[in-house]
Parts: sequence; structure tokens; C-alpha cells
Amino acid sequence: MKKILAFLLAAVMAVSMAACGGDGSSAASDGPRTSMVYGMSAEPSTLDPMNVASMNTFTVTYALYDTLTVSDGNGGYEPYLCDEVNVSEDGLTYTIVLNKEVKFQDGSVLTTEDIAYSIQRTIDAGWASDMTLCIDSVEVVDEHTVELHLNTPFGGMMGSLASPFFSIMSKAYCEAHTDEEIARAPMGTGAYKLVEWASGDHITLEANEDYFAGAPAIKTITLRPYTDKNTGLIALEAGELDAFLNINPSDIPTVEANPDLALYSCDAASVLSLNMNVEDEVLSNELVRKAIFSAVNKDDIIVGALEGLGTPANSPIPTVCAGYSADTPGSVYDPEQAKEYLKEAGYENGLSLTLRLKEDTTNQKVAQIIKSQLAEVGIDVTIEVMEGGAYTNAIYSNGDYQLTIGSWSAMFLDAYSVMYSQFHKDCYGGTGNITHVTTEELSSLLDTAAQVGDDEKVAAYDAVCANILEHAYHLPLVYQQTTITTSADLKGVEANPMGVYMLRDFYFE
Amino acid sequence: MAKYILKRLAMMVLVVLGISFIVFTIMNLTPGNAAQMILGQSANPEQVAKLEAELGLDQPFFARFFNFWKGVLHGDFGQSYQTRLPVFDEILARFPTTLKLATFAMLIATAIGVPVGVISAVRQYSIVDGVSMVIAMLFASVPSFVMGLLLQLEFALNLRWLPATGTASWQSYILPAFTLSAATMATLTRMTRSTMLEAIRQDYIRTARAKGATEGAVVLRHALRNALLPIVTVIGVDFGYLLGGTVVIESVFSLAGLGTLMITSIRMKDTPVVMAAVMFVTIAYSLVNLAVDIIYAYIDPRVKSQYAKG
Repeated sequence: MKKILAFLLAAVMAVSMAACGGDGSSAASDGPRTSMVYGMSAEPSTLDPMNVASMNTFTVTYALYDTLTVSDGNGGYEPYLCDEVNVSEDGLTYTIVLNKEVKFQDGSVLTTEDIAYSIQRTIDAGWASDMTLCIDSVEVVDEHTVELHLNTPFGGMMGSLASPFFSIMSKAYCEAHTDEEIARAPMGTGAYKLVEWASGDHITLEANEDYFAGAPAIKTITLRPYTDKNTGLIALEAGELDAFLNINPSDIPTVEANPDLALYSCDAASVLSLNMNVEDEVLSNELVRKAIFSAVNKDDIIVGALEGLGTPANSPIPTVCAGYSADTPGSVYDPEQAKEYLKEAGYENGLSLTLRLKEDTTNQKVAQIIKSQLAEVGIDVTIEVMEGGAYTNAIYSNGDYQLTIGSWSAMFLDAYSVMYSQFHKDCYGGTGNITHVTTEELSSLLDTAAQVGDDEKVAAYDAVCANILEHAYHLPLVYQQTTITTSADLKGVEANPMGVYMLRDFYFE
Repeated sequence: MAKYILKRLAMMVLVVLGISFIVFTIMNLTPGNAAQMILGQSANPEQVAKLEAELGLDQPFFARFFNFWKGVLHGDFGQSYQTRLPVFDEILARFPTTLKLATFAMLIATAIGVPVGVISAVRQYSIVDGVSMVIAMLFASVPSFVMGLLLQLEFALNLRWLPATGTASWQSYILPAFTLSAATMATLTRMTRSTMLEAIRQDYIRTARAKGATEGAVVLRHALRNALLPIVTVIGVDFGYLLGGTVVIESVFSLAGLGTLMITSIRMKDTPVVMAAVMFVTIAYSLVNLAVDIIYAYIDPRVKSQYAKG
């Protein structure tokens, strides 16, 4: 029997070694590599940039399509697919001047008609309603300019135009194809073209040699779903994968010790928070909410649940979003004060609450720690872990919960993107405001903050945060990190707070 | 025999019908809303209602079930809620990976498990027997994801002989197929050993020896053939099971198989995909079982005579 085993093993090894030898020699050829494999956390369900709700997919649509503006890396935005974007004095008219050099991947020239059509398509699709709400109309002035008319000034407009929802598509192509076809066979102005989409296995992109900003350095990109983080790490170490997001925090030391890999990290554009349903009988009492605020120790959560990765959150705004201020006074851990509040609220003998959350290892650990912290002040928390669909139904559709843990991600780096949907009365319930706070005061503060220019943004959002924290509507817990791990020879990588990457900037050394 | 096969196929139709109803009911009863899942958490109620109408989710339960079957009878399994692709295309795109993996795994399991079992039985209580039983115990009890990760670490990372993930070349299938085969291999080894031990104590073996047959002929032609029935059953059942896709292995080795498709579809409440995939797997499983029953007839004339009567 041993002989049979030995023979089989030997045969398998001989064959595989022969095969590996072949691969090795070709990889050793001179010059930097021109193809890469990018690991996605899940397969996109569509590549129609206007019907996407996953950050993971945005990396792909950004490769296929371009936007009118892009982030300049310092919190501002600059024109990209157009020559200029001019804002009128009153902030109500955005004039977009066409870049005449741009061609679509099918060879047709980008026109002002295409720009207007794309923006209208975004508005009609309704996926980015918080960004399109302020747009009154889109007008093609002549063959060089398009005007966006707003019904109210909107400080996040330039940022919105840089979001994937405002990707520029070809009017002729969109009109000639059904939405289903556009979703599977995208055609834009982007630096990459879609070559193949093997369902569940991979998406292959090829460089657009006629790209208006110059052909990208990497010629072929294969995007593969890696749903298991351990597998992703093994594939990185084995050289089968060149980039992968958010490996398990416990693996970070392993990656840092590996000379073949590089790790980039930054603050994520989201805040891990404890949401409270202010319409709940118990939690409608502000004193109870304040007691919870004082009873939670954020440092313990970071050490106990997040392997020390993260910083205590002082504000409901992510640190990387315009409008964030480090000076916002966050909640202070003071269990004695918490007991005082409870006593004042008439709960000196304690009370019971239920914390519902979506199945997620990290969030479950966070929930356990919060449970024990609240137990110390006399609040008995029951943790209820729910399957994804049931969770969304309960919390978002039905608003049936007391406490929950979650993080809301910014779609573009402006406080508006996280604050308006979460706290404005118009977004009550399913649209994002699961706290169910509907005060006129907070809504008008949010309206003001949405309208002001960059100079006044911080002050305006300070007022918003002060209101939220004063009434203890929502407890920001932790600013988490987001990481990208790459092959060491992959360059042009800079950690992105939203986990969305511009593949055209990548190159090998 | 033909009559028997026809009877089995007719029963299969009933099984598929029953299973489709059960799965449809379960998908309908579980909480969550497909339209909401597609649109994401920030969708407003009007959008959700619009998409529900588009997907036909606003119709009553029995109307939807009836429409589903009406489509199926016209050869149309519908479209995935998620990708809007024809469901059948999605399944056909995934099935080759699963089929290759299952076949490869069963070949490995049979090629190693059965001979080792035979040798263990013939040389009972020898070192070979002891070692192979310990290994079989180990293979049967180590969880597959642990074994998968260990194999990846050793063969892909340390030795760099085989790819760790993907399906780029046929070598990519070696590690996942071996991992997948481990449990079946262990069962087969132990099953072969025990049935062989029983067989070689039978009178007909003594007779075969007495008439002067060589030891090889005695073991292979007389003992093994008689011991084969339960072994074929195990192979059939496990093969059918593997055809349903294996979520853990697919995830660990990053393969696009049926298991992953089903799990993501269940999570996203993508009923058409779940229905079609479950029906597909049911049919594959039933066909494999039918094939096993037919093979019985060729291995064991006693079974064949029963079919003739039935």
C-alpha cells in the first residue's frame, strides 16, 4: 500500500513540478509585469454604474467609465472628463465645459448630449437620490457646454459628480441596448475595456490604448472573487493575487514580515456605531440614551474586538470626510454618571434591552463587550444575531429594534453622504434614518450644512453633531481602518478610505 | 429492466415536484426581501415597491409558484433577480467546475480507498492495516476547511508545487479534489475492509481456494466482487452529494461552483436561482442513484433477477 501511495504522490508531484517549471521561466523574463490579478470580496451583480450599491463593484466601474470630476487627494475635486466645471455665484448653476478629445471605447466622440443623458439617467435610476435630490434640470446649452440647474445650493455637488453614480455613458449605446445588456456588456470612456466575464469566476479587463489620459501601464487585469479572507491571504503569499482588501487584522503582522507583500492602510470612510431607536418606549427617554452613552468604553471595544486597530470615534462623521472636526466632543466613559442618569429616569433597579445585529464575527464581539459594559450599570442586554435579509427587513423596513450595531459608509468623501440619510426626517426608516429622529431642529441644521460652501462646512456640521450628541441619538464607537495588501512590486497604490481603487493608477516596478 | 428504469424516472418527476414546492415555500417563509437586498439598505420604499412589481414579487404565493412551473414546462427557468441573467446560464456556467471537482475527487477516493481497504482486510492486524486505519480515522475526522488550508500552506506556499486557488489549469484541481476526497476515501477504506473481511470468511472463498485458484484471483474475483455492493453504494451517494457543490471547499479554494452560487443566492433571496439549482442537483442526484442501481445488476446477478421479476 505504501508503494502505491508513494507512486501516486510521486507521479502527481512530477507532473505538477514540470508544469510549474514552465510558468517560472516565463515570469522571469525582463521588464515589469503587465498583468495583474485583483481580489474582490464578492462578484458584482451588475456593471451598470448607476445601479450599484457595493464599493467592491465601484473599483470595476471606475475602470470602465470615467466621471466629470475626480478627487484631487486633498479633500477637493478637479475636472477630469471635462475641461472645466464652473459654479455660479449663487451656487445654483454648474457649467460643464466639454473635453473634445475624449472618445468612447467604440470610437465615437463624447458629446454634451452624452453628458446630459448620463446625468438624467442617474436621476431616473434613483439609486443616488441623496445626491440628485438638489438637481432641478440638466440642459445642453450648445455642443461645448452643459448646465446643471440646482433648486438649492449643494456643497457636495463636486464630490457627487466624482462618485461612480455619475459615470458618463454613451447615449447612443444606452439607447441601442437594454439595461440587462448594459449591465453585462459595459461600454464607456474608461481606461479599461471588459473582455470577459466568466460568471462567478473572473472578470477580465484589457487596457484601452486610446484612453484620453494615456493608456494605463498594466495591460490585463483579472478580477476574481475571494470570499474567504484566509484564502485571499494564501493566494497573495503564493503570488496568485496582486491586491486584496481588508485581510483579517490578526494577519497584518504576517504580511508586514513578508518582503514580497506590501500593506497600505488608512481610516475608513465609515463609523462603527451603536444605533438606538428613539421611537422605542424605553429609548425615547433621553436619560436612558445618555446613560448608555456614559456606560460604553470605546477603548475596551478596540482592544477586545478589533485587535487594537482603530481609534475611538468622537463624531458620527468619518475622519476622512469633509466636515469632520477632531474637536467635536465625543461621549465620555463614566459608569457612575450612567447610574445617575438611570436613577433619574426611574430605572434604579435596572432595565432590559435587546440588541439586534447582522451575523458578523467582529460586530458580534463588539456586541458582547457592550453587553458586559451595560451590565455594569444595570442594563441587561439580550443579543439577537440575525441573518442578513431578516436584519434588513427588521431594522430598515420595519424599524423593529431597540439597539443595533452597524456602520454607514460614505459614497463620497463629504459629511453629507453619511449624515443626511442617517438623520434627516425625509430619510425616515428604510432610506437610512433608522434612529427615527425627526426633529425639525436637526433636519434644518442638516439642510444648512448641505448648502454651505467648504469654508463653513466644519462649523455647520459641528452644530449638527452637537445636536446629535447632546440628545444622545446615536453613539459613534470606533473609526476602523481599511487596508489593501498588494504584491511588493505593485506601485501607484494609496489606501482609499472607501476601498475603491483607480486601477489605471497601478503599475509594476 | 427498462420497465424498472421508466418507473424510477417517473418517480423522479414526483420527487422534483415535491422538492420544488418545499424549497419555494421555505424561500417564501424566510424573512428578507429580494428587492430590498438588491437595492441595498438605503433604498426608499417606492424603489423597493417598483422593483418588487418588476420581479413579480407582489403576486400571491401560489400564483408565483404556478408561474414558475409554467415557465419550467416551457423550458424557461426564469431570470436571476440579482444578475437578470437566465438562471440556466448561471447554473451551466458553474456546473463544469463542480462536475470536474466531484469526478476528480471520486476517482482519487476510489483509486486509493478501495485498494487500501482490500490490502488492510487481506493483511488484517498487520502494520499496513494499522497505519491505514489510523490515517482513515484522521481523514474522516479532520474538517475539510482545515485540511484544505493545511494542504494549501504545504503544497502551495512552502513547496510551491501546486496553485492554491482558482481554476486556471488542471493542476488547480488537485488540492481541492484531494481535500474533497479525504472523507469519502476514509469511508471507502473502512467499508471495503469490513465487507472484505466478511467476504473472505465465506464458504465460497474456501471452495475457491480448494479448487486451486491463485490468491490474487480469490481476493479480486471472488471476495471483492461479493464485497462490492456496499462500496458502490457509498461511491454513488457521495458522488451525488458532491455534485450538489461544496460550499466550504469552493470558498477555501476560491472556485466558482454550484455550492457558492446556491449560498449567495439563498442569502440574496434570489428564489429563481435557488429553485433551479436545487432542482438541477435533485435530478443529478437521482440519476446517479439510478445509475448505481443499474450497476448493482451487473455486479450481482441476484439483484438483476429481482429486476426481472419486478
